[in-house]
Amino acid sequence: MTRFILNGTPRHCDSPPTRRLSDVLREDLGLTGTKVGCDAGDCGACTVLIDGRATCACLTPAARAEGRHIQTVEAQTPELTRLRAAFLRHGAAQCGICTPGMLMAAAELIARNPAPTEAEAEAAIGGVLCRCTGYRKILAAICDATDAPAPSLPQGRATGQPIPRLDGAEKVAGDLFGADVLPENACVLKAIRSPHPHAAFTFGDLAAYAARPGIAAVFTAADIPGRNAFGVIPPFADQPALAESPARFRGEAVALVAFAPGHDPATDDFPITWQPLPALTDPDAALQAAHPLHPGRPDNILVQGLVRKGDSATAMDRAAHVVSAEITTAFVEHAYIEPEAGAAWLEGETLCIRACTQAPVMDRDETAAILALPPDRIRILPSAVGGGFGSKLDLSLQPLLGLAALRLRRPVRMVYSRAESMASTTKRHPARMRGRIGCDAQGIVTALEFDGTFDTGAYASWGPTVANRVPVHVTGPYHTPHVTAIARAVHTHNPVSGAFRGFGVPQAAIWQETAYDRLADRLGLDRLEFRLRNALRDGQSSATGQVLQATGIAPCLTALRPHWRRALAEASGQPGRGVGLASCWYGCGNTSLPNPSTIRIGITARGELVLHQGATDIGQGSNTVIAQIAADALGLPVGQIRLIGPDTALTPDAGKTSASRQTFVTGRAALAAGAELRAAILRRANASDAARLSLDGPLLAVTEGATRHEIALAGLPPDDMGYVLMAEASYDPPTAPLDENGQGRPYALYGYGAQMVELSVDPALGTVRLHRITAAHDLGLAINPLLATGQIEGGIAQGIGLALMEEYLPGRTENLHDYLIPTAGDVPPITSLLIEVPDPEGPFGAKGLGEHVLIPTAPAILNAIRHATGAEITQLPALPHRILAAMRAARP
Amino acid sequence: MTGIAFLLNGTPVRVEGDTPTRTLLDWLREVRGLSGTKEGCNEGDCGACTVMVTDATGSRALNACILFLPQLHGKAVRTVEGLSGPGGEMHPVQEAMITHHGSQCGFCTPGFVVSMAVAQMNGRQDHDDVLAGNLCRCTGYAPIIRAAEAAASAPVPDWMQNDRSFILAQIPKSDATTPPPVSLDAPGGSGGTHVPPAFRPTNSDDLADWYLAHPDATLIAGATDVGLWVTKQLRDLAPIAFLNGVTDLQQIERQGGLLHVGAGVTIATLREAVRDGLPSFAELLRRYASEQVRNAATIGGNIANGSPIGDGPPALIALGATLHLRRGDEMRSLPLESFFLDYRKQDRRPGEFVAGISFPEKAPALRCYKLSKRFDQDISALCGCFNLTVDQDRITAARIAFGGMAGIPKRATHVEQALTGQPWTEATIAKALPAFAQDFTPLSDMRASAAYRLEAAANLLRRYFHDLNGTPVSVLEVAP
Repeated sequence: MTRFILNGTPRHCDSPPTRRLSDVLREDLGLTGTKVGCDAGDCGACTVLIDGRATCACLTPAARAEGRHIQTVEAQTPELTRLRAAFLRHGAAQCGICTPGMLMAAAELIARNPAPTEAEAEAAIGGVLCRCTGYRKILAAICDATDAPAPSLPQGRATGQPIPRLDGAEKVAGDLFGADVLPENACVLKAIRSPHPHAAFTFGDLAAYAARPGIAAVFTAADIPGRNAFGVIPPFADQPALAESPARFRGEAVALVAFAPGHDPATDDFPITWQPLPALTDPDAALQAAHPLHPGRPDNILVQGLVRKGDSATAMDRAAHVVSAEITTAFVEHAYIEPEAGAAWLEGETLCIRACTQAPVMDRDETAAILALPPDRIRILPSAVGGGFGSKLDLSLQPLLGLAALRLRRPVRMVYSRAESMASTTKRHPARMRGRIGCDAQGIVTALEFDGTFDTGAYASWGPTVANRVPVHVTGPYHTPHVTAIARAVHTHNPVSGAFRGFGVPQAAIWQETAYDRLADRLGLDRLEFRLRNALRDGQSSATGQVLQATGIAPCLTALRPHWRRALAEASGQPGRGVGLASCWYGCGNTSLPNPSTIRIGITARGELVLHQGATDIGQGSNTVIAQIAADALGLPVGQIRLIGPDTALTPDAGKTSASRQTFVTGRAALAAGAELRAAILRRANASDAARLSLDGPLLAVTEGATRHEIALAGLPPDDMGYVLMAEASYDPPTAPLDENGQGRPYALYGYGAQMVELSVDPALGTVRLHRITAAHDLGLAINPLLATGQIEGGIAQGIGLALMEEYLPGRTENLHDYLIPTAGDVPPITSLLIEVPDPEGPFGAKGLGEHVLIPTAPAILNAIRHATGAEITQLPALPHRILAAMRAARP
Repeated sequence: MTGIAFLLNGTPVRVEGDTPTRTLLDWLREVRGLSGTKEGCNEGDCGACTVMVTDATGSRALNACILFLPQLHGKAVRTVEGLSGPGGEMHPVQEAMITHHGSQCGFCTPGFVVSMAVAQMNGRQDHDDVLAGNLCRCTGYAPIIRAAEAAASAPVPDWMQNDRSFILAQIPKSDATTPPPVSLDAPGGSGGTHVPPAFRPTNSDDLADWYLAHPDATLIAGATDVGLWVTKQLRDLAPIAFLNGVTDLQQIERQGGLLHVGAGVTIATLREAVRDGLPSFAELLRRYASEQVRNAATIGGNIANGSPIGDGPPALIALGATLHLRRGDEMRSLPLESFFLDYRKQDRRPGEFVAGISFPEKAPALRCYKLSKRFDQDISALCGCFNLTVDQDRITAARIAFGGMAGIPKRATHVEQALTGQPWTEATIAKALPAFAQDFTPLSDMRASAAYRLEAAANLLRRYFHDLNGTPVSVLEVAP
């Protein structure tokens, strides 16, 4: 055994004494920051500090580390911190392979000579080769390794500013996603998946298969040590990591093959015998089936959500006008551009999983249960996430990576193929929705009745959430005194339906908003004015009896009004031209369940301001927005913040990136943490909240009027994490449970929006061309207008797909040319109107936005198609042949 | 096979002994460790793997996932890692992407910035077309288009020009199209033990001899379909010939009012060649797959493939194109429609290959209509091409061909007969419409119902009548 101090911590390894230290660090200890370029001492990429001296780790036998202090690029030293900032400032890192070696070589120099000359710097890095930069910028960075803040970020208030995303530079350089970190010596994993929607199976001679050249192991459900059932909502956990017979949907994993790189095994003769069984692929048939998919879920009903308010039957009878509506939607695939990918390895006895995810802490706890490990034995280090939209909330390859890494005691990696990603991960629930909406003679909506069946597929996933969210939201953002709304999630042998931007609310809005257009026409009212007449106002109560505040729907509709009148005038008399409108509302955060976030901010003795930001940034921008909020709460420039995380070992739990909750919930935690740290600083200076803070290296200044108080950070005692000043704060939105009639306070705040679509429909061919979309969204306060409009435009693109082209058919559209998502040409010019009706519950008044933006698009398109042609679409997507058939049906 | 030499981000590299069906994407990521280029679909649908490939004729964006290493011999490849300058300065399109918030999750971004950098260098302003082959699921594209517009006027960075200069410097003046044989030498190489035979002919005579001796071989031109046989079906293709060095099949000649187009001409080049004389065909080709695929795919491959939903054949049949086939030293020519016998069955003998196609360089009455679920980069639900000759208000000749209506690209002969000799009136059109049901019994599938296909085909004939008479009728042609 070799013992040494690694980055300040005593470590040991059982590696052979002649093993390269670089291999010990990367493979045995999992510290992959140290790079290997040549294994011959030629390139210096593996440079580490041994007792403070730069040394090639690849030429250092493990035995030589005995008793030494080893410092790698993972270390948090003042020299490295300054150097990293300087490297970024000067563009000194390009491909990045040499950067760790450069940093370590420079760190040795800086430690003894903080202000070196260029010649000294050149000598220091002489043993490290760089093929990209031509060395000039590296030298400049080493000579300028100060604590200067990054340029171009605001020195004053950060919230409300359209600052570029803080992680932008990595993005344009090709960020490191799940497939991009390849642990040395890693086995590759490949899943064997069911080709049938429902089939029994038996294995043949697995041992013989596993003995083939290059194959390291074969795993099945029998190898899973813990509870072989996961699910995002623990009481409903039912999905096996590897299925035991029978398989319940096409694409379900039943076995896992681990093999050496370059030895891709033939899987067509994998020893498995399939016996196809009758499959329930229609939810109506599933409701009638004699045997449910899962015991204890009679009639295959997973969950049935209900909201009942007033007396809808009587109110409907008394209504002056009633429209009935029925519409069905398809499976919709998330189709993020990054298929699931990741790697796992052991770091001591800790299982590290680096994969794409939206929910690191949930991943940790669920994987721990499957592998029968205590949660603290697992560390989740999310990779950059190439899109999630809800599907990367659920486990996918994490337990498979973990199982193989644990059993093989070596790193493993796995990358889903596109077909595998599409077949095996969750979808948007297909919905069959029907019901009625009634209003009085003046056009005041009085009653709504809704019944929706949502195909939740083979396992629970987020089915309960969808069943509960839909009845709460199905009224739309309109005052509706009498409501009966039922949504049931029904099991079938179809793909698992889970979370997808909106949790069923987009489907419900399609039903409700298209019915509203028909009701307005029945009344002879302008469609926008009809909506405005019924829009929820402050003090009114929702279908769940919640009295609302900061209702933004009327301001959104009012903001659209001039655009609406202009568009109607332009479309008037133009054959095939149509204008449509739809609204949305959406409760931010979990439905009546706790979902706290915690944020930590610390200042080190050297004056580093560190934000432990555990909200996974899947592209939406939480890395930037949370930092902006924290900066303003604290009163220091956002550019001084260094982000850590997400990483379950380093960041407190900021919950999952879902339900449009991060800006709101984690934002509130950041606001509280920032305010707490500020208060602590002000107390030390005996200053009021009017004081101004400034942080300049180890000097923290508090200025109030003519009084300036300086806090010498180096003189304060550091805590366990190395912070001399630190605050950690949590926030959990105040909600109340729903009773048996769905009455209660499901969400602490809601966001609102309305969108208008202008389009043309070809009367002979049923083809649609979108001309313009105008979107008004109330987000309370736009923390970052640049990122907010980015959400709006991205959500609209997905709404266009939902309306016009997306339809996942298991086994038939498992690629991106048969399953179509919008291209650049499908998205028309978009005008975003940011409406700010601050909610006292939100950070600086801000509300969530991420899911809202998708909800109105599809119904607005359908309403515009109907306006253009009379066609009432009852099945989505509105493909040309369906539009043409609906046009024919609409003709008198 | 001999080594494959090319320039990678400005550095000469040579690959020895790797399997010829190793894709560039796989090689970049797995062998070179250049993980900036992303894999989104591995079949040319999403553009996340877009790289810039430069040869003597210029730089273009291609999908690395369906590009085999031997196709790169003598060319220059630039990946996202090679977009920034030697001093680390960002490319203007990268800066614009940050400024305009064109990147959210960032996974599609490397592919986008490469496409944008190529377009910026080539002075392209048709951003929607250029970027139709890059899918983004986060941004809704608008900020990306804004970034492309903003970067368009920036100077092209010096380092982006180096690839072309390097390639041109390698080439003897007398023969500007032969790949450089030796100068791209570089140390290195990569693993792989089983190496199936691959042949890289440089002229069609060599190809003809070899193919006659290896009639079971797979011919690979653009690899936009064959690539999927490898990446998706994991098929063993040996033996293989790569046709991208066969320069005499890449020529376009104009002679006696005819265009003679070599089988190796890419769709992108063909689109340029027909832009003035056959604008409707050029517009159809604009919607043929994506920029990356058009830059790789060849018209010969599109025809030889025999797909019932390929977009090239219906237009060419409507033009009365003649197909030229070669087997050994034997050449033969036939009307293109006769080449398609039955579903995926063509009139092509063992060892015979498509050499080229000839068709009129002008046809004022040609109109090509493509209907698909998505406007850009989608497979046709149906593609109807019409070419009528009207003389003194009477239809004297009719050529109408459809894709997506039968198991092969097929003429609507009964409709043609119903029109020929009749007056050019709406009544004639109406009388001819029922003949579509005699010509076609289309299928219902996920792209369209059978009833829709028949009805839409008939409506396209009506559209054609109005179109030729100058009545704008198609929303697809209404300016947004």
